[in-house]
Amino acid sequence: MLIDWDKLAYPYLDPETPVLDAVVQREKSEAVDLVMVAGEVAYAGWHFTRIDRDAALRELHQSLQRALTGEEIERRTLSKALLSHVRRFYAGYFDPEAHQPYYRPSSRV
Amino acid sequence: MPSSIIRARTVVTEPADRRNWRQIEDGAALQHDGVIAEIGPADELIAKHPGVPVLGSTHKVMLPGFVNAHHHIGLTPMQLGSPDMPLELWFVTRLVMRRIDLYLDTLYSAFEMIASGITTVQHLHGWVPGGPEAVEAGAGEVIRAYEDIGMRVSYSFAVRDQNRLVYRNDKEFTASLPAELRPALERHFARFGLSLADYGPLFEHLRATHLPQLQLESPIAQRDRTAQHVRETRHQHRDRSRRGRDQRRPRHVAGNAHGVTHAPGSGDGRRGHPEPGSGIAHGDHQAVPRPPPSAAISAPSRSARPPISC
Repeated sequence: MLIDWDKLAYPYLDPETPVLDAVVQREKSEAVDLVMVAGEVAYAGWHFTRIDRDAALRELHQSLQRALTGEEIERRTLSKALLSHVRRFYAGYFDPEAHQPYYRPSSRV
Repeated sequence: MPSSIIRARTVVTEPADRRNWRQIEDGAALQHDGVIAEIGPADELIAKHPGVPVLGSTHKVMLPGFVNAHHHIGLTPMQLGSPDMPLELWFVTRLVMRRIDLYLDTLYSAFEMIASGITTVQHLHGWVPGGPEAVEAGAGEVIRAYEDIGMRVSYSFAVRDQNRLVYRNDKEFTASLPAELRPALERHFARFGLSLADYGPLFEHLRATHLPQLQLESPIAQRDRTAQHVRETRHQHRDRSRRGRDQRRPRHVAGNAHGVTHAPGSGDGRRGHPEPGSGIAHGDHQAVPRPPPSAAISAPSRSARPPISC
């Protein structure tokens, strides 16, 4: 993939900052300039080379304009009716005081 | 497939160690048929290969394509009406999600991935209602979307045959509910028609359809290799959740007589061994490892796509 340096470094990027650090911490998808897969350019200049994104998204949007089916309505109703029962099922499932998360977001004393 | 040279002001080529990487200033990569053949100073490569088209410029930074190692769906549950929730409650709130065209849904997120520099995705497919034919058709739609947009995919289909809503046998949990809720939940469970025995043939059908070149080996060797891979590359969501990890407690032992999921510490993960307290099968995917990359910068041959499993 190619990233547009001029976008990445605008309005200023000090030479002290390593390029990869800038990519990881500052790059937005707007700066992705070209993506090649298996030797073929799949994306360049914000356009996909094989598929019309606007047309595909329009089709997706249109396909979801239909009314919900009976089965979808039943599941939707069921979801809301079940939530309190499932909360009860897991109530007291483990002791939160004893819980040691895999990741700790900040230091703790 | 034509060759090309891609140049950039900085070419990030590979990690040097945990904290450092290698890069070439004003560098370039030469690719032949989707495989990186040379990496070096741009002027040298261009002079050495006259006539080869040059992409990029001295105003670009080049990196290997990114790999999304864990992907499920296109439109998110949030977009489809479900709030964000702890995993176990999310299984319930996500029941509001309507059915969606799998091809278009896959394209939707593939657009976002490619536009973010992702060239390869591990698509972990969770649910397709219906029997083996419906599941195979659904898998085909997902894979077709990636093929059409030109993205590499390693496809997996989740094994689920028990504890499909909570960490308890489906029938027992249904029976524990008020009578007026039971018929709808029973109908929901009944929509998923795959038995454990269906997964092997599904795996083989998908591979025969999407990776026919792998059919060159004998059916017996293929079966053995499949079984080995399935044992070695199981992926389980429940290890990410406290409730999921705790579910081996004997709280609901009686409800899991037909368990198949591999619990942590229970050995080699062989399937078909009932395990008390085994969890909801979400994310219990089968996967086949892909071959190693052929070069530091990823531009793999499309004809050598990563294996697809189910």
